Amino acid sequence: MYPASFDYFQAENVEQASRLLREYGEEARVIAGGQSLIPFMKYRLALPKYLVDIRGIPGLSFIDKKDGCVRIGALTVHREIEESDLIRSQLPIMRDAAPLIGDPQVRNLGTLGGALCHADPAGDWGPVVLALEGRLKCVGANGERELEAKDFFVDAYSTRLQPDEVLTEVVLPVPGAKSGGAYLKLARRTGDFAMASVAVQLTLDEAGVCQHIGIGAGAAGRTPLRVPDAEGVVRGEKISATVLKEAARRLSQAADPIPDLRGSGEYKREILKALLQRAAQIAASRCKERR
Amino acid sequence: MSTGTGKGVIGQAVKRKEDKRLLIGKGIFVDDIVLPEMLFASFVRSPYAHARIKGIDASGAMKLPGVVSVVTGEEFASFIKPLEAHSLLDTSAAESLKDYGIAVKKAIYHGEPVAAVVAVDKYVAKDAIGLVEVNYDPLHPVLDPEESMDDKAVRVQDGTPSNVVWHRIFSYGDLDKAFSGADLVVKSRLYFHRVMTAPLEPYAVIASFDKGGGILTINSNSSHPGRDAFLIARSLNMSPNKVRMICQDNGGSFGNKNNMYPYIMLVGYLAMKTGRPVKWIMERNEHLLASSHGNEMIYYGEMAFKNDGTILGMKARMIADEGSELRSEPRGATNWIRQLTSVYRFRNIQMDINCVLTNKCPTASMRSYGKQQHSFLIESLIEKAARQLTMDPAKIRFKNFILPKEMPYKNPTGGVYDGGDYPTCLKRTLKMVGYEAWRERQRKLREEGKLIGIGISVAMEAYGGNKSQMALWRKGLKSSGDTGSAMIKIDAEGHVSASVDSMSMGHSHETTTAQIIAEILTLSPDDIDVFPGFDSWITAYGERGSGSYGSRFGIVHHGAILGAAQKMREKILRHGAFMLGIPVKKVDLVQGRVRVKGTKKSVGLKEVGFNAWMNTGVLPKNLEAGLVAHHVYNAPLKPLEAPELGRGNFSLTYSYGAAVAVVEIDRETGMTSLLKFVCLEDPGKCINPMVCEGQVHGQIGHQMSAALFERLIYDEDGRLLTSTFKDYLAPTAADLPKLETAIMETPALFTPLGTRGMAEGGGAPLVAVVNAVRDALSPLGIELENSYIEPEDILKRIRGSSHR
Repeated sequence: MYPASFDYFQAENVEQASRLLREYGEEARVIAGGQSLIPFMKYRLALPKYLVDIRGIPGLSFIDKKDGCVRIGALTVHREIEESDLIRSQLPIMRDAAPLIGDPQVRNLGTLGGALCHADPAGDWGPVVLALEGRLKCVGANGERELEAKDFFVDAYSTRLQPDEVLTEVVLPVPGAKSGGAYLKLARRTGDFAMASVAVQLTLDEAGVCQHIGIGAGAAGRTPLRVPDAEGVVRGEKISATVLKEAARRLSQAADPIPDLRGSGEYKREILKALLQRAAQIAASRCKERR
Repeated sequence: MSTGTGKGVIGQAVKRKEDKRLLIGKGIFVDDIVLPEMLFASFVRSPYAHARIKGIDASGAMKLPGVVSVVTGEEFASFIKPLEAHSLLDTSAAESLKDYGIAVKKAIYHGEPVAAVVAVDKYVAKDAIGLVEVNYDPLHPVLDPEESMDDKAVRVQDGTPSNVVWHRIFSYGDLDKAFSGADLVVKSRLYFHRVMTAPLEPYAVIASFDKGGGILTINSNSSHPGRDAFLIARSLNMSPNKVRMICQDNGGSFGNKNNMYPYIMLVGYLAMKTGRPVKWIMERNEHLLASSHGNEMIYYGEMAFKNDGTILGMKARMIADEGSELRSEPRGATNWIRQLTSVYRFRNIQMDINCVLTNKCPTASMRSYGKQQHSFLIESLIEKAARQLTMDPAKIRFKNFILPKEMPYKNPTGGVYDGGDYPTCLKRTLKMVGYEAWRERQRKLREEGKLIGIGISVAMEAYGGNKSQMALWRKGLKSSGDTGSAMIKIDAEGHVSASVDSMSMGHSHETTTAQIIAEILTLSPDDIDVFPGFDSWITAYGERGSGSYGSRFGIVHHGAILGAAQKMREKILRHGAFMLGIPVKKVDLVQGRVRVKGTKKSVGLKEVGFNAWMNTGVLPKNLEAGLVAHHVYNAPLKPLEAPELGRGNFSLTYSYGAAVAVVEIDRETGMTSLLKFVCLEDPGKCINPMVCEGQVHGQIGHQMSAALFERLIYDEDGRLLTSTFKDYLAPTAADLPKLETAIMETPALFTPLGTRGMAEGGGAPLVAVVNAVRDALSPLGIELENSYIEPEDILKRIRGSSHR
């Protein structure tokens, strides 16, 4: 497993990174934790001529709360999210997902921003950020802009980032006190890529009627999938087996999973159905706990 | 000087001597070795399963700065003789099989080497691979072994009369009587999937050639260096003495590294050609593609029973998918003969063996070589019968066990079982798992709609293989027995050192060797330095079998170490008695000192060593100078009793064990989880219980993951799809169940220390998992005939079941 040769730059700030990316265009790749890019390079599936390393850029690794949103710096590693008290209290759904990513070594080096930009269809953060209706802050030559998570993913391993843009921050609105979330993933091995995964964040009123729901699905197509159709079935309803069954059916209709050695598209649709129903039940029970 | 007395060292959980250097990261693995002027090799590999090679253009690669040489298969073939392995066969096909370890004119499996590049570093070598242009003409790949058997099938190797390269029917007892008198005959087409061992460290070789002395030195992580030296020397037209095989630390083999000799030979040639040392470190995807795979087998099996569960006989037609070359084969396809009726008493059996070539990676040894497949056959048929007879799967096994009072038991081939207590083994395992309680829980959980299964497997594993087995493949071959060789030296200051003609791959050989010597020489294991590896110029090895495979260390090597230690003890006593001026019968060895019996008068090893080496002028004629003891242990094995009938005792020891798995299957996803897993093994006398337990852990990890995780998948064009760890699902520690293991020690009857060999498990963990899944699905009327549990397949069957 030996990569092809490449030139390596250590960016000192976002502006410099963006400048380098503009200069080298398609031949350059940003590297942060390197937990996906380096294996790709070793297998020569990625052959960047230039690597722009952003790990040394100060101020991009943080978790804080401001204006009703949890903000996470793009260079924050999975392990910090896994262990953060703020995440545990404000966004427990992320606490579900973090320990399922790779193994401890991967989680100590891999970053939230890197994982989102790598845009693996079976990645764990995509569905979670979709269910939470997150926004992604990107900085490039033309300044800063915020993208809705649902607009960020274009195709497998492809995002709406411009070639000179760097993802700097993920902004996640904190759901209300009557909200609960859950992320479930089915994998063949511990830490393996998802065969399918589902993130559900829902808010129930006093009567148990769903006021708000976000559903994100992983390994359900060429990108992480937000499923408005399934959300619509649940919104305004009490959580029941019948409602969830219908939501699951809608999810499986919306999904177009990539068949691979872990299962056919048809099989993954079946798993998605099971996961959605289970995740929604857990999310609903967590709503009650929080009350 | 000794820190111990040696008393009771054998049997103690002594800490491992080898751990320190490994834990501080100072082991010496092949890739740690850097030689002056060293070059790096990389192989161009066929992207096709089957293709004619019309031409190779290396000019582009040669232009890349740093590339020293590009060597094609044809160039190799002009210099080397084909590897010998299949000359061990006497079929007409054997004549036409030509294994150069690299494709010559035709590539016959995906990943087969086609050319080698040698360059100044590994990155340049890898870059150059992409610049070698190979002109292929793809041919139809033969992938299904049953189709491959057809006379009209495309031949995998040019010029072979058939893709069936070896066929023989073995019959024992009276099959007709067994089947005609049966109350029940169960039949299955069973499939044992293609799986492999995935050690942390793939193959690694450094070859350097001393033109002056004509010596080819090989540093490698081979586990079979003795045989390798002979095979390589023959192909390179040299004396085996001129091939110096050095092996030290090794990142795991589990059978896999017995089969790296073709690569060692190729890298050897590259060093001879370039005149510089050449290093080759196999990459992970190359290892999955083109090292060696485990035996993939189809069985058409039938077993005859009485209504009370008594087994009357078994018939099986085996189709062994050998891949494209015979390397260690047909050993795996015939290893069942060493334990054909397993732990059971039935005596009527027929095996129809077909070794078939396909355009896939060659198969060869993998932990429990050919034996776990055989257990899968027997245990699957028994399991099916238990269900049809509505008998508890434990009970049907108890009904058929050979009993301790029948030991030593002669099985239908003439295999002599060396003691053991099979009923107690299963009883203890069931007790550990809480079998009755689990059955009760299963009943309740089934009522709630849960799919809970309890799987039992009892397996035999014959160790200490008799070379008489080779005479089954080539009639008239005069080979039999098995040996191990060990040497002990005490230097002029009394330091004890030892070497053994084996190769440790995490087996703790240094530790157990020191334990045996310490016991005999009344020392502490800390007093004994064991050479951590194999060097054919230092290790006193003689036979081609030298190496570590088939769990033979605990048999032939322990025998050799014990013999050498006893010889050394005798020498020490004689030298000591001479120094003390009294007859040898009046002295004893106590804490490493030669003492006059009944007195405190003594001389220590330091003085004895000095006198034996440095004051030889005083020694009498009948006292050999120096303190060196060498012993070749000759296992008490005989040639074939009746070659035409396939009769003989093919192993010295017959280990056995049991495993019980409890699983739950998720109805909505088809996923299987292990709720409990228990495994027990009888290694005979246990030299070091901690080491034995560790070996059982490895066995569980390997075999339960073969059932649940690991599978090699070829697509319809013969391309291996599982060529990275993303898709070849090697598990991590987090995927293993809580390991509940135990050892029971019933001394083996025919080895000097009562040891039996251990660690391979005969497939018990694998079959226990498969049987548990079968048990879980049985209320749905589902029969599983594959050794691999595929979640999608399970879900489909659950959904398709009429009993839902």
